[in-house]
Amino acid sequence: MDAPLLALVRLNKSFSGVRVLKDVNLTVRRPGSILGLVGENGAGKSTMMNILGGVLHRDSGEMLLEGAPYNPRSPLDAEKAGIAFIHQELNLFPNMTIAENLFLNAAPRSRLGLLSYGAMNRKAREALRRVGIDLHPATRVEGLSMGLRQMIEIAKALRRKARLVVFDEPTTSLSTNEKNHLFSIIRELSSKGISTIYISHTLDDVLGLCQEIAVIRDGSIIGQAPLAEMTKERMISMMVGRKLDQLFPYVEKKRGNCLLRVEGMSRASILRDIGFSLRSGEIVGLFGLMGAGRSELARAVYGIDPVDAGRIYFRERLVKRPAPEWWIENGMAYITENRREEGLLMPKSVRENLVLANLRKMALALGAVDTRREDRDSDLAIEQLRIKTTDKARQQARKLSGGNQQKVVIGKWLLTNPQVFIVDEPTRGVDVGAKFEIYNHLNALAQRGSAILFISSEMEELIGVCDRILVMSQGELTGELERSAFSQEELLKYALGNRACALPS
Amino acid sequence: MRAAQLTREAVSSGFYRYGLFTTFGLLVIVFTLLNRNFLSFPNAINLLQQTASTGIAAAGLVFVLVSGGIDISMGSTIFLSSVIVTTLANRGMGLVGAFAVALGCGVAVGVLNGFFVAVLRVVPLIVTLASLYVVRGVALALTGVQSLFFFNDVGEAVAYRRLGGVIPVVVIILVATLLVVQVVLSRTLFGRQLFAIGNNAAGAQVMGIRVRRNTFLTYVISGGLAGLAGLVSGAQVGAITPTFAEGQEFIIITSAILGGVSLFGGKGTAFPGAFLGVLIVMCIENGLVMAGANMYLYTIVRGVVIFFAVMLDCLRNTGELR
Repeated sequence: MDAPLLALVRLNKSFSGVRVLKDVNLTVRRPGSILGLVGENGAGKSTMMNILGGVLHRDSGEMLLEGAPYNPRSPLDAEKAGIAFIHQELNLFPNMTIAENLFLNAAPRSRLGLLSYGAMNRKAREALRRVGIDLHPATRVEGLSMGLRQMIEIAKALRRKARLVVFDEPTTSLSTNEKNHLFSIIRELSSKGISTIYISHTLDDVLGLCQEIAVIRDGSIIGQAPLAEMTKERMISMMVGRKLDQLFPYVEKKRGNCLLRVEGMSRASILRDIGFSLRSGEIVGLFGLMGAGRSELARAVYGIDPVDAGRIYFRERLVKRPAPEWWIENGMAYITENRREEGLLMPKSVRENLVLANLRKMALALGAVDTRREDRDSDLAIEQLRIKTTDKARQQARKLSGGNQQKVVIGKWLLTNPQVFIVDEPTRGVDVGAKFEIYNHLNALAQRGSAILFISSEMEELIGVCDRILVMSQGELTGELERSAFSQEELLKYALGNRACALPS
Repeated sequence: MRAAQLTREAVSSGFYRYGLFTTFGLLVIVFTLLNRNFLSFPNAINLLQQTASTGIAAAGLVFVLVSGGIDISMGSTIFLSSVIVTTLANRGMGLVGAFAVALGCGVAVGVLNGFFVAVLRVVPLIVTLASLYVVRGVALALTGVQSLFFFNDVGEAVAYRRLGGVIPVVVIILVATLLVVQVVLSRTLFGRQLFAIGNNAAGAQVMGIRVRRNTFLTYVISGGLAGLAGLVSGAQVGAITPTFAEGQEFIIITSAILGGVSLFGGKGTAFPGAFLGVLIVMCIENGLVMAGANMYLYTIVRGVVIFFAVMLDCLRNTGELR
């Protein structure tokens, strides 16, 4: 039997005494195979891939590329060996053109040794065609959609004769079409003998795309098996280390008074005459397709975006001028979609980030901060959300893995015990275990009498945890379903624009 | 939505590209109205001569700015270079030697700056602020805080000789520098990689770009060209007083930014960009002279220009480009 394309053998890595990788073995069997890699946030996927990419160096163990030792000392070595990485945060320079991005390291030169833009653009166009996009190579990357950018990254990898492409959570910011396009490209690469390691939290995608799946937990590979032997349930139990009998916990709550009521909210071409209410003890889902105006509605209610018309009542009192400061003061929190950019102080410690929204309540006399309470509260959030941090007082937020950063943002707002909590895609990019924690927290919050508006594009989770679901389409509220009437068909019908015959008020 | 975004980008970049030319054109018209001699060949040559030193230095600064750094030590480097070149030329050094020495002392300052910024990773503003003082101090020590006079063949040749009796040598040096710099910036791998570094240094590192080496080189280049600017302006002025070129760094930086080189890195050209910036700044000063303005007006106008340059830059950099 031929040597596998890539073999990681008993790889170990520690950071300041903490073992992050423990005797990790991983094999990409042959050219062209698609290997899925799943695991919770902080399980060690990124560390592993950073070692593979020459960004980090292993403490012990071996890496073999087609049977030969592979010891990358820098990202450049990895590139030379034919291993390309497509990260969640893409490595493109938006101030430069597509062609310049493609040829940043090795551009075609003219006889004088100067860059030849003609040849560069011609070759770039060819490379773009290979990934099925037809754009002028002299277009600046700035202003292109994430999907297109990803294709440019792939083109870049192909141009460098990559044999193995590692995708790290590539679909988080893609539309469905873009995702399908990406998958067809990956399959095409596979048929041409270019292998893929595909890292994702979206288990359905992994099951649909990969030929083999490896699961990592707490720095060890729990198992690697062909697709045929894998199911979603098995993957989840391997990832979490226990059986999750229920993915979406639902609890009975006591519905109380109306906490938030919105009437006739309109904004030219974005929102049309929207009215809804949130009652104490309710989790209300807000569903809709991309561009339906869900986030825009939340932003309008929160006072970030202006509205042309509409009234907002908070505890039956008219809110004259809604603004984020006012809402925070009065007990409403809003976690935005791009919470990582808007919600974290990256260079600050985990603890500081966690208590930030709640500092006012921690004030002692003379404005001093109650450090013991700071400690207690941040511990609570870390424990409850299972945030993986090596040292909450010293570790910078930016050093956390992506999913854990999100947990910090959610934890931060949970600590304020908001009465009305608007969450926009709170579980996107978060692993199964953490999702479960987040649902539990939303449930607990609702049980204590808060109202939650849960914006999501995943029907399953809304159906699983909500009491009521509102559906939007093209800026309009097209339907409202009570829990007893939940079904994917109904939700989709409304989301596609069919109005409910009679809107319950 | 994408189409709208693209149009907006096209409009804004178009505005900034042609806005610069428009501003320059308007200035020319205004000053011509104030004084008919403004728009004449002798005055145009005069203006180019005046821009030579600042233009050369600004071209060097573009490298640093594009890669996301800053160099505020250029005024002092200009001073140091002019002091050393004058001293040596007065003792009989020839023309070639003068150029070599000017470039050499600029490069020396640049190597120091580059070492601290790229190797020891100290913030560029602080490194070059320190060298602004240290370098001026060293130069003052060399002169004994006396004025020097650049009256010799070298000074004569650089400042007054005209090729074919028409085009001054300094203008040739200026044009040659601008051309070479712009070609290096836009047509070499080194130049393009600087744009990547200025946009996202960490990303550039991951891409396998040698960020430290390239950053180091940008300071060496800006130092070297500041040295060359020192020779040019020293020869032109003739008398090198202890305050010579003091504050010059801000005129250089203002010009570059006004010319569309971003203070935030990743964007800009030496020609036409930075050079147009220099022309605009010099035009204003030249125009003020010809209009017979008061001294205090100069500083006020300079301040206003700096403000507008930086404000424009901030407005341009609201998006991802930062």
